[in-house]
Amino acid sequence: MARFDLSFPETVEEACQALAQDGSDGRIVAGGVALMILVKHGLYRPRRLISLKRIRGLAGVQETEGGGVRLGAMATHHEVELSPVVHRRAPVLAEATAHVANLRIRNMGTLVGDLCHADNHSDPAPVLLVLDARARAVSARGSREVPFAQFFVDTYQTVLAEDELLTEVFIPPAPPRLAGCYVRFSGHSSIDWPTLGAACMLRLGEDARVQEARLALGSVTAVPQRLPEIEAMLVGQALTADLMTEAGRRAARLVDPPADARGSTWYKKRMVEVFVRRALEETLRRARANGVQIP
Amino acid sequence: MTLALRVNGQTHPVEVEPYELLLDVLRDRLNLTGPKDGCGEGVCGACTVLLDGRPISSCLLLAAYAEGSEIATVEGLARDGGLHPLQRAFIEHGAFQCGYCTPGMLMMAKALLDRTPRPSEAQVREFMSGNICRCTSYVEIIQAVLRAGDG
Repeated sequence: MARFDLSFPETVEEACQALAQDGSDGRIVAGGVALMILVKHGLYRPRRLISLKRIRGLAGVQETEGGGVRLGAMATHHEVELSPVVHRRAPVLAEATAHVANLRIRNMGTLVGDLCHADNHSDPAPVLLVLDARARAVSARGSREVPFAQFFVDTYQTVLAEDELLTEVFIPPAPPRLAGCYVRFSGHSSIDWPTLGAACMLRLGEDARVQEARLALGSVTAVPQRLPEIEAMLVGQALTADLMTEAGRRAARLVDPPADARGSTWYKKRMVEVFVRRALEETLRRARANGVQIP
Repeated sequence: MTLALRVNGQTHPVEVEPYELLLDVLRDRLNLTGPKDGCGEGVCGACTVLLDGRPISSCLLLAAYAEGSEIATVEGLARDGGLHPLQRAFIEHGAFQCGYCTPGMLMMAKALLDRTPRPSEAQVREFMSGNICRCTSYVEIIQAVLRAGDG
């Protein structure tokens, strides 16, 4: 295995300084799961790893003022999955996170690390898109907030500059009457990457018409993506079976997934058709369970 | 770097390279060969150990990350010469053939029973789903965990 140095800065400032000094030789590591797999396969040879593990302020999940959620860079998938704050304020994120790999990996890997790794098969990523979440990127030069809608550039590639690290993810407070779900399919075993994942959030009015629709797909596009065309066709409409079927059909036309071990392009497009419809049906069912009257 | 690793209740000072993984340090430095190197990428569960009671894949964890935590390996299960109830149940049910996955299975099952002393079969199946048995002793493994859960 590659040899590298490992440091444990105790503040974000120290980590930023180390990263700025090391330039392309330095790399931030949180849980280290995805990174160590790359290193073990010889796909990446780090010179210096800068660990976030001992930075106290980056741990855990907190509720923000107004009912949003703040997820620190060292919050593991399993902490997110079990967090009462996440269950109360963004339950769909807990739902998606429970699908990540297996329990051992969820105990080691972090949500923020998963996002920075930017594998397009991430389960939580499409959910963060429909939650309108944003990230805080910090460097020795300063700090900025990046919406996840602009975060992913390509598979394994993000907008982060070489000297930037993500310290936290913010989920804004959800408006009232927002319901959502994450549905995914894995053809191999439950712990495999998904063939596809679909995240959906809907806000339904008193008349049960769609006031706001947010849909995102994971695994079938180079980066997880919202579907603005489908969202637009749903707004103002009543969610009939025909409309949900049509939304699935149109979504399938918008993607061109690569053929791989998880299926052909044709198969994945059909799966998008089915899973967009299912995501809408399930969200509608949950909205009803939450007391929205469907005339 | 010098680490003080707490393993099965004892502190071991150990000199490691920064790139060394916990599995290699346990096996090659501390002679704890219970955790096994299987897939090497966190899928199979043969290298499962508990870190502060939580199961992790020691094949992917930098050894330095384990400092400050209580590490539990299969070697710590038996007490005073007596097998742990899980170990007895695995023997009674013949919950293995080659035995390579067994240390990982036992530690995973311990994590489950420590948190949920009397799990349902569905809970056992879900919790153990990330540990692979190449000999496919799954039915016997599930029965053994359920039996150990009965006390």
